[in-house]
Amino acid sequence: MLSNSNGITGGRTLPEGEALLSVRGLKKVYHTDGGDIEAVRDLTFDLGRGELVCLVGPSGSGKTTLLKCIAGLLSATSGEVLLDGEKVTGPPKKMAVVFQEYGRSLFPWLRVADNVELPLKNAGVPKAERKKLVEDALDAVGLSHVPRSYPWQLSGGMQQRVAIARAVAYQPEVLLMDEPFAAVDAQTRADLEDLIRNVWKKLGVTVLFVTHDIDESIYLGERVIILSSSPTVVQEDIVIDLPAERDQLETRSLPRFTELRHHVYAEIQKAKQGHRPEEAKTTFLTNPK
Amino acid sequence: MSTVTTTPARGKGARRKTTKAKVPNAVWGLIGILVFLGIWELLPALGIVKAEYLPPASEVLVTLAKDFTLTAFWLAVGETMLAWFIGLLVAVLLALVLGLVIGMSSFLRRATNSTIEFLRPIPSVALIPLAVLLFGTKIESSLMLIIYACFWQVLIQVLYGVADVDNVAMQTARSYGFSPFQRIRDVIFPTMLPYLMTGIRLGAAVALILAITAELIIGSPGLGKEIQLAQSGGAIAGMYALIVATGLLGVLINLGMRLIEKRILSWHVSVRGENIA
Repeated sequence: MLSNSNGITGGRTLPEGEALLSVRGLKKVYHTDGGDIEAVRDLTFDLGRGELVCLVGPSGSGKTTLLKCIAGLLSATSGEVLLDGEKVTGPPKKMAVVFQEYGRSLFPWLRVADNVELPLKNAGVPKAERKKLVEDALDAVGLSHVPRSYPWQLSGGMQQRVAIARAVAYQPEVLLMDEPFAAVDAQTRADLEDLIRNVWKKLGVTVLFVTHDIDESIYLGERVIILSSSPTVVQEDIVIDLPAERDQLETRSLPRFTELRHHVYAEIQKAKQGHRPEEAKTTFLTNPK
Repeated sequence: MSTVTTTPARGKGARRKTTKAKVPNAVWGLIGILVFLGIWELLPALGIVKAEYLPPASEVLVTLAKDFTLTAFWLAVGETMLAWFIGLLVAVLLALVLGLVIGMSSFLRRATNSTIEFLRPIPSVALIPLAVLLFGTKIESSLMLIIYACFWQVLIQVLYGVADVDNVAMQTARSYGFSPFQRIRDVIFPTMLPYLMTGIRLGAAVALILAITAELIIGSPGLGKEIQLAQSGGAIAGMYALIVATGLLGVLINLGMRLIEKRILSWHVSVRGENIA
């Protein structure tokens, strides 16, 4: 079921045709006045259709760079990103990105519903359909009561919900999220995590969720890809074998959750100390039960 | 903990202060005007200034009130405002288009920077001889001076505005596949709008100054020309009345601009005030 091409440093790959999103040998070097900075060295992994995958790594491990390359916002130095078999050269139509900085990503001159509607309008979606999509999306994130408000009249968590609604209404096949909850308080964060799980289940969208929070990655993901420190490679790619129904209290108090947490934490500590994987590893931690 | 307890108290205090200050502000303003008019009235009456150089305020205001009933006065106001409006409009449109084009290309920004910095400080009135050579005493003379002066005011603001476009907002637009035109319309233009409005407000004041200047010196039709005529005809009170009229025009233009700004930029930090959330 899981294949791992011999000798290629990287995460789990799927047989040709099965992957929705493929990252192959991705490398990104920034050319600056102070010399070249190699942010991402060599990344290879696949996302199957309908997966929810979390990417964790120590800070400065090039997570955002990777995400921007996948989103077509940055061009890779070498290697490639394939969406549905097609090479990504610019922002693809089937993708939506939710940024960490919701306050800057939402347009302050537009009301909530108009913010959600704008990408649809610019994509040429007919008006009646737009209205329905916007209503459904706002409903899905629990914001159907504030369509006429401006984003800056809402709390941080609500603003990020608007950004998520905008992405949901766009009906992407792949939803990329760049540390979307890093700037909200802990309680809001828990709510938003459950919201993402719900949206993912309801819409069957493929989600790649970047975070630096180990607990969050395990709680949310069906799979966690751990990145090494910069220059970045895949350190480990693990399957999260927790029950599909996740609950903030129960899931987090499962012994299995604690084990996974320990494991990922240890890997990240190793990454921070400069440990580099010798070759690709796809690990199933043996479930003691 | 201390912030939790002090914040609401401070908020209340600040609100009380502003409501307290708001009512007296208008009253104080009125008192200020009355004191000013009183001093003006007294200066010639006490013989400190000769009444032939500075007629008392009452006489000037009565003349002004009479002017309000004259068609010729309103025609002059109309001429001045026409030059003001056309000049400002042309300057804003030119500056908007050029500012967007230059501002969006780092090459053009660098290439034009020194030229702009050289042309911008040239006082528009230095162009009066040229304007007279080209257009004589027609309204075009006024327009040339107004457009030149306002253009730079607005252009600089538009350039600042385009440079202020948020990186994340732009990446959001790109990730949702906005076309270049959609990016300009939906991201760059709204970001730039507050800057543009500032430029227009500054330009509107400058345009009035130059409209009056051109009329005074070149003799193109309008209030400025009437002031010059009144002065040479010895109608000193009439001259002062017209000067007060130009001042009133300036106040009205500024109020109008602020009102428009408030309407258009209700979403902007400068208008909406403190963040509610």
